[in-house]
Amino acid sequence: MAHITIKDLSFSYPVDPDRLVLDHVSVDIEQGQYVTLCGKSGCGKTTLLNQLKTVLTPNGKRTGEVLLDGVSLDQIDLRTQAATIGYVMQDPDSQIVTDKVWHELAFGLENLGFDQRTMRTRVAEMASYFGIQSWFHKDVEELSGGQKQLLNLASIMAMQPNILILDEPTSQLDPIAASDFLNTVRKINLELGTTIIITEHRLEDIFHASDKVIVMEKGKVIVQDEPKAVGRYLKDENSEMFAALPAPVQIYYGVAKEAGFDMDDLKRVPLTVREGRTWLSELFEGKEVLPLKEKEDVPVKDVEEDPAISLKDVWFRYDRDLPDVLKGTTFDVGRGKIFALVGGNGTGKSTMLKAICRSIRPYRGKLLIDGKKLDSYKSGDLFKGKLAMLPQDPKSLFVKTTVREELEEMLGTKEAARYEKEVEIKGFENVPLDERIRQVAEECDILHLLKSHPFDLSGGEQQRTALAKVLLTEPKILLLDEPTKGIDNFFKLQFANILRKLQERGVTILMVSHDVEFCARYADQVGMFFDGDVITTNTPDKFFGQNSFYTTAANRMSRHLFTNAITDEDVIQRCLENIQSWK
Amino acid sequence: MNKSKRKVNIAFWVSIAVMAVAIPATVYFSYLLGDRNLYIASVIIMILAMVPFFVSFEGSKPDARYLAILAVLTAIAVISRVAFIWLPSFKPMAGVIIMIAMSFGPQAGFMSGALSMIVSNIIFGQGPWTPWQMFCYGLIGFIAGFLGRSRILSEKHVIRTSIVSFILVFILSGLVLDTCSVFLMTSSISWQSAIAIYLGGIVPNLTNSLASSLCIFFLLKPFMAILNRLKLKYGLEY
Amino acid sequence: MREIYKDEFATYNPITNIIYFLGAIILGMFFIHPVFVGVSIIIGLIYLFILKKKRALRELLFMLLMFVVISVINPVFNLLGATVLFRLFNRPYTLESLIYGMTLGGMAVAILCWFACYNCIMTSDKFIYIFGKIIPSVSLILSMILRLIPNLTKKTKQIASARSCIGMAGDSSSSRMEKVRNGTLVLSTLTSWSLEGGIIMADSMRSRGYGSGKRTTFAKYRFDARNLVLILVMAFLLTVIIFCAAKGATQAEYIPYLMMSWFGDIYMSLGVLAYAVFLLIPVFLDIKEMIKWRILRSKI
Repeated sequence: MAHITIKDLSFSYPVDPDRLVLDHVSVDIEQGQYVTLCGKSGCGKTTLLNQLKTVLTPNGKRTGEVLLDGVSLDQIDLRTQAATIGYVMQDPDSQIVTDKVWHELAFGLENLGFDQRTMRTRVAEMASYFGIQSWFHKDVEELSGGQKQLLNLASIMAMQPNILILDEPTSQLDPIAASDFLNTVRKINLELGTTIIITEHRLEDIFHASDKVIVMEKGKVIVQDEPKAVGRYLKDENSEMFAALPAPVQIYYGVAKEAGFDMDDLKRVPLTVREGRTWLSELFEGKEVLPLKEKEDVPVKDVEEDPAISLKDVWFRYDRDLPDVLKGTTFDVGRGKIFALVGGNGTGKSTMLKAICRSIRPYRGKLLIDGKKLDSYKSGDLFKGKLAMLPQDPKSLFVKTTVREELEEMLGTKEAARYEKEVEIKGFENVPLDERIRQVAEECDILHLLKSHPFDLSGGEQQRTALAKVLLTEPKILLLDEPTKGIDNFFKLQFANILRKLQERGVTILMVSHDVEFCARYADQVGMFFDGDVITTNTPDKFFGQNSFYTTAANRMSRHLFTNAITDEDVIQRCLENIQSWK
Repeated sequence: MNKSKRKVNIAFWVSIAVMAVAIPATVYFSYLLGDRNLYIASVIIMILAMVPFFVSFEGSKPDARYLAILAVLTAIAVISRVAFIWLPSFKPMAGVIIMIAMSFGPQAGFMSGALSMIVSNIIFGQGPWTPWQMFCYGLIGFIAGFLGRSRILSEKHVIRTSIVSFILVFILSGLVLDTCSVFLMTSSISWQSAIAIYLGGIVPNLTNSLASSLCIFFLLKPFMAILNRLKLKYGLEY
Repeated sequence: MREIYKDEFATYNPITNIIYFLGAIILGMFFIHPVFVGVSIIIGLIYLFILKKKRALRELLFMLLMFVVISVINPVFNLLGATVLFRLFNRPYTLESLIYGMTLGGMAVAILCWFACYNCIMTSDKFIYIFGKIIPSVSLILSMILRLIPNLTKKTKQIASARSCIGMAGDSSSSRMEKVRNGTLVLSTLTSWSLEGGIIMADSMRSRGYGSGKRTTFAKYRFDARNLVLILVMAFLLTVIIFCAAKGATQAEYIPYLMMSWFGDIYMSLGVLAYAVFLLIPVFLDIKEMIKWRILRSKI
């Protein structure tokens, strides 16, 4: 008998009873397994996870059942469920209930009615296990995102659950905090034998560690197996989900056919960068590696002739007594380029964007927009048709009740009020859209969402709605703050296509990001931000090609053979060229 | 919904009863102690009057969503002035409390009013005025809750609601709170000194009431729409 | 948010703390005897300076102002009193009334002073702990609100800056009304956004067993022997003070003649002594601790 049995489970929401959000799902999970659940946004992952805990199950029609050690979940009382099934959600901030770290750790235990002695022991134990002692007495708001999520995990583990469910727990974290967090989850799995069920967009850190990978599509489970078999299945079926697999798997299958691998021999399939590296070395053993075919080598210009944005020796600190955040920041963004700045947390990247937006004023240095001093712009002129920023959290731009009203707000107070009134009288469909709005909405692919409430949209849709709002100011220069945070690969691709189109229209884009893979693929130029200044800038292939740690998985796996191969496609192409030459 | 309504009414009547017994008793007590104890007597009365509300809140075993929503809305009331950083003296807290009360009823109104005052005082420091402020803002929420139930305050009548709120805030957070200062600062109350204090308070009181009333004027419709949508989406019945 | 003060009394259980402060504040409001008021002010200020060091000076300035205003103003309204100092607008300005005013002013200063000390010692943790003992749900919601406030403040600033970065926040030329309107828009975004967060918060509470049955409250503070001893000492002193007060130790008449109990009266002397000792408890504790550490260090 399996530990968790999901038997022929179907579910639909009351608003749309015919659409099965979960479509006859059957899954068995054994005690102590590490299970990864993946699929596109909206495929039903979260809905499935919510069925595993009665208090989180939304209203709706359900058939089939969920058994825990052979007992139906409905027959297990809420208190037992609370203690045995832990659930970590996506947003590290909203999950925290109380104001102090120590109180949050004790919160679950309080709810379960434990006595003081037990609570003390458990809280102390968790604080030690998770290394929380040094911030035990702090306010939760002082913690970083990674620490907050770790606190959420610890406060759940204090209840000593057998099963730990994690719904995209690292989507809001930076890559370093994310892998720290996932390592801790792995440690819990290995040391305590807790059953783990996790969903994630980024599979790099968890795919190889999984005992079982479940892939969902439109409410159905399309495959559930061990990771290598899932890779093979997705390749064979030519599934969209294949593109979400870790780089080594994709590269392996990219060259498998040409290299004449036995597709049934799953043992050779590399899942991690280390395995990938070994596999590539074996492939190239005793063979000469073709040198990089020089593309038309464009010399990197240190100074742009007519930069759209130019910072020269910009200094800033938040208060006279505080340390400098920007320390002589100097760089140029060429007109019509997509320029990406990467770098760790707290290096001042976001502050730099604020300086360009004039939210903060540097105390020294020169800041030119379109060759004109930033201070010489009137605020009306600057943000109308010149400069705009897409904030990190798209929700911070939503003020209205429908996407349409959001966009109409940008036409000005009077115009927006006129439209609102007209829609109220004549009905939504009967009032034609403003032509500009229609264009932008089409470009951002949100025409089908106009009637929805902005807060009901998925992360990627919210992102595009916010972008549409920003684009209605018709900016020549677009600033993006962590644009790919929390959105999945498919939405990223869609987002990138929009950026490309904007670029074709001559829009200059400056983005700040942690997402190395995204920058490698789509930026024209990449800069490293460190300690308040831009350290190096280069084209993505050279930039990441020269880094050994801060670079893409594909590059890390192949750097000992190829120079400047940074995306999966680069590596596959270079492999194929070589294989061709051996023949 | 009916259940919670009944509980609120019980709290209300208990509160009235407590005041009916306690006020004369306290006044007599303070008379025994001689003058100068009006302040202490008033604080005792207020604490007694608030007890039934807190007890009924405790007894209603609030569920997680009610607790979380009330916490979020109260926090918004407390920090509402951050949104008006341009206008330093603009404090629309009472306005937000009135809207919470209109949507969630007298009990929630009282709790958010009283809690927002405790919390402001935890952050900015407690003082002798804390119980008075709690009581006054609790009462603003409580009365607004009743006026909302009887449709005197309603999102359909923005102007009426703004005006009634202006009066409510001016009386309760202005005149009544200044009485606290009168009790605190003067010995035996003399008319001259009382009037001096009320007159001194008139400008900040007017600003405060105007801020709340303007906030309601602009925010009433969207705010109620947000709360109604929330109730609909999550099937809340408060 | 607020800093933590290094003080021995602060390490005691919140219940001990609150008994002391209630005693200091309530007695301070009742006793209108110049000597008692003086004792309260002096000890209050000593404790405030121990807690806040130099930064107490700024508060002192405000207190001084308040003292002067109340004591000078009182005779203007209160005309009774036997000894006329001078006439103001043809109205008598009397010594008795001035002394009464000074006592009242001193009292106000003492109360402010004790509240200032209270605010240093009673952190939000302690406050919530005390509430948790009496009304646990209210204590929980207080903790939730305190958790949300910095978070929502940050969100509010984020929203305002996001709007200004697409030119939707008005500029220096927009009118006051326009600014108020912009502010309310920020508030409405904040409301939608944070209510979504509130629903997640509720889910997180329920998934951790909130509402599944009886609830306990985790007590960060221990109630040990030293707390019990201190409470017994305070109870004894309070009994002595109240007994003496009942015997007329704190009686004082100002108008028309000054008439008050003085040190010759045994109850009055005993009362003042007990009052001073009671108020000095935290100062004693700090001194004791200082000596203890001196000795400990010298032994190393």
